[in-house]
Amino acid sequence: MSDISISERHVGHHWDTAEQEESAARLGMWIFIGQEFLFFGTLFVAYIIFRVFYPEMFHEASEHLSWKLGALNTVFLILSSFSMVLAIRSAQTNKLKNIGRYLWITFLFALAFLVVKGFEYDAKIVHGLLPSKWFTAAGHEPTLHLFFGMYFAFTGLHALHVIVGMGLILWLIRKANRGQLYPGYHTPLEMVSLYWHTVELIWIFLFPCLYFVG
Amino acid sequence: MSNSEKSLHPIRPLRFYVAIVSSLLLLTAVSVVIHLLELGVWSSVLTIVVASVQALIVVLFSMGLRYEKGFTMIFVAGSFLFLIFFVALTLADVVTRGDMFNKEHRNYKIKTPVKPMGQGTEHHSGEKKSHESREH
Repeated sequence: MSDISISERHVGHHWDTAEQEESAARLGMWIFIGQEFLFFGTLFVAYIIFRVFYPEMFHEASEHLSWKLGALNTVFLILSSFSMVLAIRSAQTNKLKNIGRYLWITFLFALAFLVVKGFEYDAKIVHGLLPSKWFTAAGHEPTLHLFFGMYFAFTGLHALHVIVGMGLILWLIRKANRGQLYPGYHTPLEMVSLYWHTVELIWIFLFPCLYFVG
Repeated sequence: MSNSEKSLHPIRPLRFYVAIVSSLLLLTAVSVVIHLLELGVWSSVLTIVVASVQALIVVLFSMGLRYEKGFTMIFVAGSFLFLIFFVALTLADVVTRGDMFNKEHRNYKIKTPVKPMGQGTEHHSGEKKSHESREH
């Protein structure tokens, strides 16, 4: 049944088959993800250097962060990824109406993540922990600003990825509503799902690194 | 032959995905427990180990790397390998520096105090002008 839709689907003229098209898309996506690992890797290396140099400062900094909010956000991202794979499964099993529903659930979990992040940012800014000239917090450690410089760079870049992902999810919802995702063709869904898992993956490491220091 | 066998991303039973999500949530709970036990340095090490296990589950099963072609694996393994080099060489440097900073009275000035951004901006604008005049 799905074989028919795959052969009927319009394949880009530079591809021999739909399978070839999909596997090329996958390869490109994985190269991009490899680049993302390296990109965030630089920040993790900065983290390691500062942590080895100033362990006491990290201990003090961790008292400014609430691991409960971090854990809540971890749960939100894990659940959003779960509903993302359910959206793919709906496309594969021809339950086309469910694609949009699961994508909306993914979107709402992502939004919840950003709302929690917003509350955290607000508390940091109120306490004068925003780096650069806004940093007014007086701690015991003179290097406290280094941690929060990293904290905002890390979580800010990650939040930017979440926002981009939310835009992509809205784009997919529109595609799903137009009936452009179905068992024979759902490559955009698969690619955004890979991206979304990458966002989840980065957070999985950010969570213990930033919130579990003390 | 059905499409599900041909495709790179075959249809899996629902419990496959439920198993993934529940193990990820369980491991998050485990890392919270490790944190609350306050094992000192071991807390950090163990939470990173738990995060690595979670990451493996996500990469291999959620993202389906386990079912990818070998050619894709080369790129993923390559970026991962260089990440390992990056982290390992950095650690080899910073961990083995010992008490160098204390001996040198910290005159490497890595611990510079916060400076308001307004300071020193005149210097930069002056530098720019001299650079421009050199060009003329």
